[in-house]
Amino acid sequence: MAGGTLQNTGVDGAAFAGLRHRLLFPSWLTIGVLLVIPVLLMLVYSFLTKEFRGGVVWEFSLAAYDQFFFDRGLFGDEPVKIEWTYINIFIRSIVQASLATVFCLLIGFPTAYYIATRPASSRAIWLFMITVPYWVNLLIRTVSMKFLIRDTGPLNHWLMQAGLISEPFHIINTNIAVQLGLFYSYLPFMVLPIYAAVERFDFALVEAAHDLYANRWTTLRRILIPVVRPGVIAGCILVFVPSLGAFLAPDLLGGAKNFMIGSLIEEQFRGSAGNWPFGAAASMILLSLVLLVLMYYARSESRRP
Amino acid sequence: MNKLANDNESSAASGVAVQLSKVRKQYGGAIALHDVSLTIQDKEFFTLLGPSGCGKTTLLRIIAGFENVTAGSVYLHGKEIANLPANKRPVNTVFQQYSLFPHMSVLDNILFGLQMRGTPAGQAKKRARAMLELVQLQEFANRLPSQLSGGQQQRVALARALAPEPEVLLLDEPLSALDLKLRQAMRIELKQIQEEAGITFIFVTHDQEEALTMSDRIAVMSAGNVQQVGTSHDIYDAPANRFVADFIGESNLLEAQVLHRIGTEVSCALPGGVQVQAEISADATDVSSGTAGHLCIRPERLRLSMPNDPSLNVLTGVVVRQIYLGTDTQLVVKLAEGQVVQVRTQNAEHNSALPTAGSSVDLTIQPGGVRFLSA
Ligand SMILES: Nc1ncnc2c1ncn2[C@@H]1O[C@H](COP(=O)(O)OP(=O)(O)O)[C@@H](O)[C@H]1O
Ligand SMILES: [Mg+2]
Repeated sequence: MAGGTLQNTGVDGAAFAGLRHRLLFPSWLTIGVLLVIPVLLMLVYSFLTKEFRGGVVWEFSLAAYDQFFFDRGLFGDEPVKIEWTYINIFIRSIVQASLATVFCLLIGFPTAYYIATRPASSRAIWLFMITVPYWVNLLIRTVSMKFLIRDTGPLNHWLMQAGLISEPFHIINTNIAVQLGLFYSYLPFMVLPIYAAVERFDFALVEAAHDLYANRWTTLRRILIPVVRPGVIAGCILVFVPSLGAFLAPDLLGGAKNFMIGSLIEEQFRGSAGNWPFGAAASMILLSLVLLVLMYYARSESRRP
Repeated sequence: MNKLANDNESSAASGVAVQLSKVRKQYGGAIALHDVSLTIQDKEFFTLLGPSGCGKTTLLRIIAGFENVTAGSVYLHGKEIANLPANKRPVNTVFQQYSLFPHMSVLDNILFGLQMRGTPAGQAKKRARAMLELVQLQEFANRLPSQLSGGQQQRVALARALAPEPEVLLLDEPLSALDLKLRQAMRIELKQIQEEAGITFIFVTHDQEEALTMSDRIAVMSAGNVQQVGTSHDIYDAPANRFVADFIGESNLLEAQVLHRIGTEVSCALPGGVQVQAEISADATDVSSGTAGHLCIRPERLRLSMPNDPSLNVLTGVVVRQIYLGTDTQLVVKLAEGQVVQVRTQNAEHNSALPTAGSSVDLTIQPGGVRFLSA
């Protein structure tokens, strides 16, 4: 594109095209090394044979995908039987990630709206307060959360002292704990894009809607939300995608019963119990799921006026 | 919704669309409106005219329901509406920045108010189509506002505000963002639309030409006060005070003292001793012989006189500058007593050459063209 316009100026176009390629090289290199090669590597590994004690044997195999989907595989004489263990983990992960997205949206939208409608001088302080906990490593924050919510932790202590409950409220190692962890981990990813959209929103439109007989609720539904929709969707994607692959919160807060995809994959690459091709296959399936969600979004967006 | 329409009919007989009674608006310590009282008639094209910051938008926003008054009351067709929220007032606004809904097509923008008022879908579509036709944007029904020019957006804003058939339409400098040619065309069009729709328009502008050409009546405002209310003629020919005389059109304001008064006629003396006949308004009761004030003389009311003209109203001076303006020529003349006045002559009327800079001239004041202003 840039080359085209340069050519039109009558300067030697080929030289500029060469220059353009050279200038873009660092970008291509970064994308190639950090994105394309690792994904291709995973794709290739997922079709290799498992080596005892981790690693792979360079021999084509569908065993990993077979293990993921089927109890009695496609290649035997007996009828095919679906293996539900891993599919269930995926379903649970999708449910958890969706719930985390919904909760982040329910809390994040009003928060972002509140911050964006403060006077410009105090907005920076609010944003700072939202982001400051995130300067601490996620692992440390998740462990801290574990201490807060365990049976003998401060949360239960306060609740019991306040007389709200008589015995500890058992949260740790439940789905609720995982949910809490995901919510807390990714809330700012919801708040920030919505904040950016609301901050750009022209509040004269609210007056225009009131002027045209719309009440507050209708104005929210028909004017504010549709106009800030791109920010809301960006927030949802930014919360949903990492929640789906999260492993710290489910590992540390959910215990063995509340496994999610992230933990499953992580386990395959750790220690002697690992199975690299299976981990790679699970990653590829996760990646396909995420791509499907994004493609669905892109398609529904392109159909809008 | 229908209730509002009925109220409209029952109170229309009173003939008053909007009444403001001692409306005061204060932002912290700053007073934006000082006890403004105005009566706007039904189906009137009423203009609020004044320089930027004089409180026009504030007044409009109070009528629309976006601002509360600090004191005073607002009546719509005889009913106090202070406690009626904006979305319950049968009043629509054409916003200065248009404020079209960016995610809705032109048609959906126009339909919005109709839908909110609960108009049945078929009827609403029909009305919206009629509005599109009125502003000549039929082919643009499915475009987004961002795909329209400024002039087209302005017309969508107008159609959107007119669609729900408001009792009063408020327009906040709707033409100020358009270029000159379009602005001039829209003036005529707006006036026509107002007459056809039979709706009260309250139009805000800082452009006196716009106000003079479109309005039935004008309220001239400055610094939160209404200075004068009247027709274009009233305001141009009989300004109430120096502010109005200065703001509307060009005027020469010369210090003068009243010698004697008979009814609405006064004879005044300029500092150099020249006597000038002038008019005053009948309600200027404080003016009597000895009152000091200003004479307001419009530039086109000053004539270059023949030498030795025996008439009473003669001023002498020297031309400082001659400015050619196409149809007119403006002369800047320094009078013998030191004041500088503007004289405007139509070029078509002159067959001889006009006096150039440096030449002495005598000026006669056309009778009936002079006002005495005590304030
Ligand atoms: N929200 C506000 N807060 C404080 N002062 C305001 C506000 N709105 C308007 N004003 C002040 O009120 C005065 C009138 O403003 P406005 O009605 O917008 O004038 P206009 O429309 O005639 O240009 C101005 O001095 C302006 O600074
Ligand atoms: Mg204004």
